[in-house]
Amino acid sequence: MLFNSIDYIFFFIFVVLVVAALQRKKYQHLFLLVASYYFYWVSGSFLFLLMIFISLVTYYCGRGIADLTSTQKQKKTYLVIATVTSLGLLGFFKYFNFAVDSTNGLFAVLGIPYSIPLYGILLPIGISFYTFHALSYIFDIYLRKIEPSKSLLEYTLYIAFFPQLVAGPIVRAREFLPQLKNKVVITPENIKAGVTLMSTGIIKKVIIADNLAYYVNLVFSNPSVPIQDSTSFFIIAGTILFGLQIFFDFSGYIDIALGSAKVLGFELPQNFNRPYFSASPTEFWRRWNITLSSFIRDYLYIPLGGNRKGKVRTYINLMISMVICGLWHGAAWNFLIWGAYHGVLLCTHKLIVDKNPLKYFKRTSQASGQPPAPADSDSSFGVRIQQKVLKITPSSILKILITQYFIFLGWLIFRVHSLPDLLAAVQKYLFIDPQSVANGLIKYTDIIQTNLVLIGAFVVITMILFNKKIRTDGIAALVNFDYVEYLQNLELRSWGVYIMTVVLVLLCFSPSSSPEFIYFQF
Amino acid sequence: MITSQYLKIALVISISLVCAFIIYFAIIACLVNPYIQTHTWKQISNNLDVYESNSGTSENSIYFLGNSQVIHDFDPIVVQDYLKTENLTFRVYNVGVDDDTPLQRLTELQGIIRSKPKIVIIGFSYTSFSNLTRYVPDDNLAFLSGRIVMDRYSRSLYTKEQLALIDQNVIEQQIFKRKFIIPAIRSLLGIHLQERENIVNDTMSLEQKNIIAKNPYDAFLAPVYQDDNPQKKAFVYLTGELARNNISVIYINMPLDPLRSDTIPDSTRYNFFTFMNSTGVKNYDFEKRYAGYDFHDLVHQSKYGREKFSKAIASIISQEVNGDAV
Repeated sequence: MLFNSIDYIFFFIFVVLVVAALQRKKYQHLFLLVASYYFYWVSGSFLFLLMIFISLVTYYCGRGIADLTSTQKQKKTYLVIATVTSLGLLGFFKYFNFAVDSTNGLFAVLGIPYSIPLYGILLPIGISFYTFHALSYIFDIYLRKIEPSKSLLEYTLYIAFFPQLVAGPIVRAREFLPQLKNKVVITPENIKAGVTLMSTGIIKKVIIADNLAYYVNLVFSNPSVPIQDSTSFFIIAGTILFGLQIFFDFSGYIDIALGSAKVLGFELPQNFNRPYFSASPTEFWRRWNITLSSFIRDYLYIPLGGNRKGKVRTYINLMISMVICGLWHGAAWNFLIWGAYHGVLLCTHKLIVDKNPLKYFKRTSQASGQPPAPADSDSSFGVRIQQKVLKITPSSILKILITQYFIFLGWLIFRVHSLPDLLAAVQKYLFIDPQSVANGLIKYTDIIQTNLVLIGAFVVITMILFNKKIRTDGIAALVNFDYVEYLQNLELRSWGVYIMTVVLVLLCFSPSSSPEFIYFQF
Repeated sequence: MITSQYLKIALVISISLVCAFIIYFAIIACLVNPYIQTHTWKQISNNLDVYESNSGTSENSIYFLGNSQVIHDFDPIVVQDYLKTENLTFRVYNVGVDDDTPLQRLTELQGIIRSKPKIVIIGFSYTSFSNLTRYVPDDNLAFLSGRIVMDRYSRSLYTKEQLALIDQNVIEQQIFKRKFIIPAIRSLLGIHLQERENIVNDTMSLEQKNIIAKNPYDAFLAPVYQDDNPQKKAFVYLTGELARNNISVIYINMPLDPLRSDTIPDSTRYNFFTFMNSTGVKNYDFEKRYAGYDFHDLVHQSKYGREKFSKAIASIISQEVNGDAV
């Protein structure tokens, strides 16, 4: 069941009505749990049984770890059982065929006439996400950051809660479980705020990401023009458009998830904070998929030693963290390369910072408007954004452009799955052929003109609506402006006009078919 | 108090939805409907009108149906004038449709039969019979919903998705039309599709033709294999049904620029004619009859080529009529 489908809208309205009608907290939670399993069953398959199994194992192991009568050895045993079970199942379902395929490839290279048979293993939807939910719970109990949940119902609801189930955000148990202490109250304010978030998410997904997907597929999935025969113009245009597509697709999904939870009275963590305004790779990972990067920081990078064990170990830790981050996205070589590539970017950035730390820190901090890293965190990886203001200056724009050039090269690696295709595409991205770019711009003038007209119309409308703000605070204020907050606080009549505009835009500009959310596959 | 807040929100959302739909339908009526009347749908719509107006008349009519090659290459006035010189009175119609295939024409079969033409000439190229072209543009199928009736066999050759388009109700059809909003805006702003302009207005230079002819991914090179496919089945059924209703059928293998013709594999040619001969339909091969200067691009003829080709077709019709084939 896709978030942007009519089915989901009916399902969601039904859930909200029933939860509102139920008087007791326990029944509300029970209904939400059943609804979440139903949602998963419709979206995926009978493999929701796997999720129940992981929930049970981690729940009882969590209790075992926290049990005062358990010895340290027993606590470790519970931790190992929970971790191995969760990661083992994740590894089997997600990476088994990849490992077999790679081994067979190695056999072929070495001339060994043997191949291990591949099995038709179905990847359970959202397994990477709910496994991480379960692991964060276990690790936090072991690290004594939280007490184990006393209610199996509450814990299983935390793992299965449908807005966050399939593609995140990765919610920590300490963020979610306390919210289950109270009865679910559906307030008019939450409905307005949630519906606003959901509507912006649907616009991001259906209108922007899905329309971009058509052009991206023309470049990267076009049987008529294989990537190796594509021109530099196509590769560059396709890469930029894919970078935009994946952002709007994923952040659209997150907005719908956050909005759905908000209507039901739950707060889920933000996952994006204008990542394409990042002025360094480190900053990018503070703004992109924030819940994943902070998970990897807290449960992998810092336990590995972070930056506390010398420079060489810091670089090694960064590389390990990013390679695993890449592999988390999918069982394919390009994801591994993508992770390693980002590891190299982070190490390079750290190297530059280390050489001239004062100057760079000062500038980066100014450019990104971030406070210094908190004492308990690590400046190299995934520090949470605490301040949203971006300052746009000429030097920060230059840094943003340079950073994004490399971030988008990363998206090319992410999108192209075959290694020979990837090599050809990267070559065309790095060694730009100006002639092909010029020809491409001329050939597609009509498409460029049309999009410029549509974007221009949007900008003009925005400028008119926020004319007063621009006059007082300048254009930069528009970039920093929190539109969602503004929209959800509109007076009811104006909010109605906004909802009407959203529906009208969906009716007019949604493509005939809407592909799945990109992050569903992870 | 709180309950009234809930009601207000529900009311605002409901009114917003209704207003959005009203504005949307107004956009479709004022912007999209006039726009689509100038493109491929206009061709199909015109064809259906022709069949409808000819139903029940005693007029001697001839239809030439096929793809864009027919639209460009065939001039019915030239044919009518030629036939008049031989004292033959026929109303000749060019009912070509861009990107046409036999499968798409099944949607018009009942209309054609009802209008009782004397001869139906069908003009395609190899690509229309390829295993790779089950393709019928969604737009054409969607706009046909509500206007056509297809028999069970014809429906069986379409995919489930295609049938869903054909069977759309009025509301679904209006929603489907949203895909034309951007082209309609583009048209309103005078931003034209460049590739199309090249084909229609400019005659390609030899150099341009050479570049396009060497593109190995050109959809026109889709091969024809020996095995059966929905396009071949549609052709057999279409011509069979026409013949069963005493309508003469002639197939024309449409002319191609020699540069394009050189890129067609012999296997495609062999497989195609093996199939065509097996159908028993009288066919004429025009693929290599004309020189490069008779074409304005690789597959469509210039006005000189068009006149030559139309006269050749007139001559075939004359032979058919005089040979008492009709």
